[in-house]
Amino acid sequence: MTKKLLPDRRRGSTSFLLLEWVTAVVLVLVLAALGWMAGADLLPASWRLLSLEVEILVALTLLTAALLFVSVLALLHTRDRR
Amino acid sequence: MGEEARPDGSAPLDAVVDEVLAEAHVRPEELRPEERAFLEQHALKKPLRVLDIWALGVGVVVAGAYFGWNLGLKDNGPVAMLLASLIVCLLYLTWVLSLAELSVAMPFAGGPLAYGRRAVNPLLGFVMGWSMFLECLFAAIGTALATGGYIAFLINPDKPDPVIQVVAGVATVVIFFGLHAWGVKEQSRAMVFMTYGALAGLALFWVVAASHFSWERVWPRDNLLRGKGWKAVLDAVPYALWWLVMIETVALSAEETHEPHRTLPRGLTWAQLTLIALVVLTWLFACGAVDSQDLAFTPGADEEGKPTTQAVDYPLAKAIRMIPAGQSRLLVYGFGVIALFGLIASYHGMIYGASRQAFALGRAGYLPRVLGEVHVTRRTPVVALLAGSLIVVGFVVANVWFADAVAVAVLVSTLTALIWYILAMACLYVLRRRSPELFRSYRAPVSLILPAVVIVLSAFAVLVYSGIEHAGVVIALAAALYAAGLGYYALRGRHRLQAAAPEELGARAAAAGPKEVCL
Repeated sequence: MTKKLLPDRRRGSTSFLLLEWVTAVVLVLVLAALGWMAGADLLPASWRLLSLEVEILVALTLLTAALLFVSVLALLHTRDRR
Repeated sequence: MGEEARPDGSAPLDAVVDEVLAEAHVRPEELRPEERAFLEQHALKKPLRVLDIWALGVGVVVAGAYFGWNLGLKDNGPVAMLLASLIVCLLYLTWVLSLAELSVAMPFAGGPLAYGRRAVNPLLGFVMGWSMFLECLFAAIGTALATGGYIAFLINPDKPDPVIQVVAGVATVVIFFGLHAWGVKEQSRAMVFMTYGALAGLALFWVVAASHFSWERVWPRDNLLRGKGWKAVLDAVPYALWWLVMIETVALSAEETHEPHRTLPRGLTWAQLTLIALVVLTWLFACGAVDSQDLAFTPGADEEGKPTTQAVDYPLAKAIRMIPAGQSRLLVYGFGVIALFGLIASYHGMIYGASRQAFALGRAGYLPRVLGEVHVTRRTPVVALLAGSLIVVGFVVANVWFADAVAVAVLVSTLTALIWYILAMACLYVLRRRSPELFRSYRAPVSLILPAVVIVLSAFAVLVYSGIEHAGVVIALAAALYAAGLGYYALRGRHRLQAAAPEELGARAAAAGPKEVCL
């Protein structure tokens, strides 16, 4: 009998689904930020939104948040029920 | 045949074959006697557990913390390197989670060969398997060369002898051929030991570097991206990839893993999180201890007196030597010796990956079948190991005449890796739709979007690579290698595919339609 890593009950819980949705949104924002970075490299003047330091901090925050959310999900997901 | 316990006390081969069949979603009664005999003759043991998977994952990648990434600091600075490193960390975290899903669904030594074969056709399976073979082989070449160079540096820091570099590189290859041929459990134990050594070396570096730490060096407010804007981040990405490339080698151990649906996701996740912590801490303490440009290059002059720069191959050792606490020669040399653990541990994982992929391609008939033979008693793929080791030795010796061999080897490895990351994620989408029963025992979190993130981030990295130094040589060499592989497949391999190989059994099960097979 195959043993699942996480009980279906926990995977289907509201908090887990919410965490998955938030993670998905953050990941999409990261991809958008990468597209913006490539645009800002090609046309720095017209793509500038904020001061460089603030832009860097926003990018760092997004990347860190994405790493944290995916890490938490991954750890919850691979917990053994035994 | 295969019913009795083996003299060394290992499990009967029949049990291993039954597990392979269950993993391929094939019922035992569907197997012809000659196919069962083939599987018994080509079966690998299954001794690997979570700690082994973690050690394999961390060990194969840890060399990236010791050299290579620092070259991205040149003209880009620490902030660009941090951003590029976090982008790469996200790529690899999403990649290992998606890869775990594929490797649990098809836990065969062939890895990418099995994914492409089952999702589309044998040609895609071969392209993906060949890509990973090239990735592992060229990473092993680069690391064997770097290990030899490091040993030559330790013997004579002022003028490393290229002959010593070649001899030390060849000795590394020979020693690890013997270890791998001896047995997978034995080499796994050695991997755990060397991984601990490599981590101890990094911890020693962090403690020493912390004694000379300055936030001003990490976050130079007046010159955050060194005047290059966001181009600095893009330029740093190819070097940041070296932090984490090769962790996918772990997927090849699936066929030798005990209960892969439990062991692989946990081992891979913990390995990747460990590596992300190593990346951030090593970047922080290295860039905080000395100026980032000192980590990237050493200024010099050519014979005519014109200023030149020499890339730094030993950034952490150099950082220790530049700070007050590191003036002790005992500390510098002690750290240098410990750092060798990192390089050797990574070489160990790379030759593991190259040999397993050659073994799987040979066993399934895509490459000469002799590569798919295993040792009668040790059950290790000795012919594939020997072939991979001989190719590495050839390149190590060729380094005497080709000075940029390390850089080219590393870049070919990374380019071929990115190609199969994208193809593997496309296969994951196809297989989820076509064979959902494969993914009942494990499914990655955020499963709809995660593979798409890997595809976009990998494509982003490929585009950035087009502007690098050595791009012409790297692309030409990679194209020639793909042409050679595809030529063999078209003329010979595709006519000699082995229907009883686990990767082919999986494809046969897919053609027969879904069914439930319990592990």
